[in-house]
Amino acid sequence: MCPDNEVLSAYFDNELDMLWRDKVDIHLSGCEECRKKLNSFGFIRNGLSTYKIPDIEEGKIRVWQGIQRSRDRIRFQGFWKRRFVIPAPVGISIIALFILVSGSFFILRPSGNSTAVAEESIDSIEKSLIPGSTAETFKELIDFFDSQDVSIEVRIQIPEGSGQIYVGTPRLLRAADYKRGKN
Amino acid sequence: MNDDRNGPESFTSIYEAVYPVIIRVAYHITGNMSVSEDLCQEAFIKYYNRAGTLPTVDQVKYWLIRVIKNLSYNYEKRKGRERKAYEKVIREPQRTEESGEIELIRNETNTIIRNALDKLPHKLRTILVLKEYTGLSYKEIAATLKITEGNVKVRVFRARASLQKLLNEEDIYVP
Repeated sequence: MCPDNEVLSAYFDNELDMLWRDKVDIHLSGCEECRKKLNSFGFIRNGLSTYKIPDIEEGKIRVWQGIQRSRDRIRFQGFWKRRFVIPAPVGISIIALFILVSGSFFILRPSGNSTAVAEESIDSIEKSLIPGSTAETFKELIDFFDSQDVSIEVRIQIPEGSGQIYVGTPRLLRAADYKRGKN
Repeated sequence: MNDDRNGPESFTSIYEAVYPVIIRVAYHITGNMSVSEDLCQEAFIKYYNRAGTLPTVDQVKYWLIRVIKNLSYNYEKRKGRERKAYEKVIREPQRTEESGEIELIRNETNTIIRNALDKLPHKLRTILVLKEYTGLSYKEIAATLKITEGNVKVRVFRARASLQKLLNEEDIYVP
């Protein structure tokens, strides 16, 4: 069986390893068609070799002189005209870091009038909002609710623009438990 | 890179090693020696200005071959074949050492081969130029063009087959 044309072409260029070269050698000794193909590659190579490049030595000197002139111009340009190249991954990392830092600054910055809501003690309530209650403090309010046989819905409204980050779900703590947790 | 040293990595030594390779690539794509010299100068200046160094002389060679290939094809695209043929007539040196008839036949052969090479697609022409005129191995061509060796093998054959077909359409004299 004849080898692929690409294998023959690689054989012609002496690019096959020894094992394959030996196999092709053996095959060629008995296959005229493959020998003709090899001859055609030789024909191409001969044809291409007739197209010769003129002498390159004079041009080599001329080109070198041109490069020297350009180099001399570059050397005198000074620091501020030089090009600086930053690799793309480094550039992207710098931009990402800048976005992260500036984003964090705007998200986490404290608002002008905020103190941590969690730490603010509620020591007064709007009595008019709770008919039938004389509670003066939040604790008394809780006790009042406990004494009522009603289900209540508590909504916690966090002030807008407080710059708070919301994590998890809110739960009601007694002041004593909260302070104990802090300590 | 230290230009003053004459070690293997100096700009001077790289120029000495790589110029003969890239001038051939440029010439066999553009067909014009003067233009090829200009393009080689441009390629080396690009290399000189390049921030960051390449680890070995071979890597530099492959980089410069890619640059000269792109510059040559860009030139070809810009100028067009008619003007290139005109410049060839004006600037090509005339050989006088052989008899008139053989010289005429050789010039005609060169023109036919030049035309056939021009007709090849860029990918196949590049591969054939690198293989036949620069002496690079399949492995080096693969590293230069950033393709696999298998790809090189296939393209070399296809380039030869295409060129043969084009040359068979003409009668060419092969001494």
